[in-house]
Amino acid sequence: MMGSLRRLYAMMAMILGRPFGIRMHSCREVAQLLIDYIDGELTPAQRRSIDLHLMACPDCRHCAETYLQTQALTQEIRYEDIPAEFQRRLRSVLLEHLRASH
Amino acid sequence: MGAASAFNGRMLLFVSWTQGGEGSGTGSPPAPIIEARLSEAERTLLARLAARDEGALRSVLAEHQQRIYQLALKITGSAEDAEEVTQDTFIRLLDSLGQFEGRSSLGTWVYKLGLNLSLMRRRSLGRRPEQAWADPMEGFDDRGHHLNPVGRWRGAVLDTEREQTRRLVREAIAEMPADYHSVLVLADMEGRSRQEIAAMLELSVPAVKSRLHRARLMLRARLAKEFEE
Repeated sequence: MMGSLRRLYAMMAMILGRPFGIRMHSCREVAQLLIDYIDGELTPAQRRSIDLHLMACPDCRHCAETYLQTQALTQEIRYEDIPAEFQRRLRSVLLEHLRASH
Repeated sequence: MGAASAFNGRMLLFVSWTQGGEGSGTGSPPAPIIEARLSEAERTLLARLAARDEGALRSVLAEHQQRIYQLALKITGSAEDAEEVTQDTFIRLLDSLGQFEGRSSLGTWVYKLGLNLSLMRRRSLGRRPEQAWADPMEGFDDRGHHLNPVGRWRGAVLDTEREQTRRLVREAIAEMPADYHSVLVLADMEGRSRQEIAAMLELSVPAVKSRLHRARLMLRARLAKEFEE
């Protein structure tokens, strides 16, 4: 059932693109070009083709949305600050190293 | 609730490309670390350090220790390793003052020392996660269609204040294959430009871009197992 729906969406994308002379990308090509699409580095024709594909193909749309969500999560994840106790230990070790290298 | 949640279930692709450029979608980028030149203040600081001035050492630590510790923590995934790498970085700095030619800023030099030591430490940990990560470009049939349906993610998982989300994302990143992990950390976590990453990892800019894209796709696929509706 899901396979039939995906084929139907792909056909819709092909049909939608033809009157405008747009070559439709496959799902694999959309995945490959996603970083250029997000960075705004595609030609206007390529961008229109991908826009059209994303409108017609929920799998690629979800893939693109979650790609951006992955990027946002990665950027937002916070890591612990340097512990105060380690800062003291580090300073002590390095001062000792500095004095010893005289 | 973090900004990631703003992406929840919304079609934002049609506007996202207008953000453009490196690290698109983030706030102001960090100061570039490559190409920067040694300032007069840094030159003076290094001269004092070479003369074993303890105040100069305190200044260098105050300026750089936090950044090096966090970089080491992101690369190694362990607080204990991050502490050892941070200490080794500054010891290496003190021991190699005479070799520093001043062609970059002090910050660049320390950062590269810290990065190299972090990457060496991660390699020495001997993780073997590669076999668990599928090639993200293998999930398509002969005609290039998705082999399996791709779903949306549950809204709640996009909140980075949520402990479970934080843990899952950090664990997944920590397990990534080394070549992809380092590029992802530097680009999306440290906010470094692709030119900077290329210079630091001795790769071409297109290679950095290609690895970054694959790293994001791989991480997306891994997180989808936990986050899909």
